[in-house]
Amino acid sequence: MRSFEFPIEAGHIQEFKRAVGDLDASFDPDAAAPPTFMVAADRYDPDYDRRLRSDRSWPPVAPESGSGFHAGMVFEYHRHPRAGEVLTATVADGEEWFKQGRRGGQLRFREIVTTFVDADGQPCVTARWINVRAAKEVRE
Amino acid sequence: MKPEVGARHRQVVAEGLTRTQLVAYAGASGDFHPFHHDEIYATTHGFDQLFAHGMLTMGVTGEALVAVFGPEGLDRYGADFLKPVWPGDTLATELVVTAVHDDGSVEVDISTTDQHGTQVLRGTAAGRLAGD
Repeated sequence: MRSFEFPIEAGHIQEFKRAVGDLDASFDPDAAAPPTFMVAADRYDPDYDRRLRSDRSWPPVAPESGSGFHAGMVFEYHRHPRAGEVLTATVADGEEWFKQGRRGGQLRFREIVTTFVDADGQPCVTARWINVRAAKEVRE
Repeated sequence: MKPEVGARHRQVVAEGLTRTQLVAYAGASGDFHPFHHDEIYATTHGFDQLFAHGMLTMGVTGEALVAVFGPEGLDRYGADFLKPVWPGDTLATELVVTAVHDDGSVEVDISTTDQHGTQVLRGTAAGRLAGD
C-alpha cells in the first residue's frame, strides 16, 4: 500500500477534457473533474512506471514477460472533485479471480484499488484498475 | 434521455481518431506506454500498428455519459475493454436505461462500437440524469 497527493488543477482538467474529445474545452477555475480524470493521478504517483524515469530503463516491461493487459476499470463517485482541491490517493491490492479464456487457457484477473479522499479525509472517488494475464505465466 | 427503461442515447464520441489525440491523451493522463505512440514498438510486439489506451476509449465514452448525466450526476461508471481501437477509427456510444429507481436514479448499459460495428467497450453506469 502507498499514498501520494493528487492536486486537482484547472489547467490539467482542461487538457484532459480536450484529450477525450471536448476539443474546445475552455479554462474553468471551478471545473468538475471528468468521469475518468482520476486515472491522471498516475502523473503524481512516484512509483508509476509508464513514464520516463531516471531509475528505470525505457521502454517498460513488455507484455510477453508477464505484466498483462489493462482489461477494465470501475469508478465509484462518492462526490465529484473540483479544481483547487488536493486529494490523497491510497493504492492497494484488491480482489483476484480466475476465468477460462476463449482460447482454452485460464486467465488471472487482479484489481488495483485506488481510494481518493479529500482534505477532510472524506471519501471522494474509488477507482478499480483490472489487470488480466495468462494464469500459466503467474504460476511459472 | 428520459428516465424510462429502454430509453436510448446514441452519440459519436470519436471521429477518425488521430495519432495526435493518442499523444494528447498520453500527456494528459501521464500514461506514456509506447504501445500508444511508438509504431515500431507496437509492431515489434505483435500488433499491426499502435493503438489507443483503453482509458482513452473509456474517456471518450464518458463524454456521452456527461451528455446525459451532467458533469456531476454519475455515481458509478465501469467498463471492460474488449478490442483494440486503432488510429482512424470512428467510435459511437449507445446508452440504454436498464433500471429506474424510486429515488430517481437510473442504471444504463453502455456499448461503444467502431465504424465496422465491432464492440470495443462494454460497461454500465448509474446516477441521476441531468435536469432530473
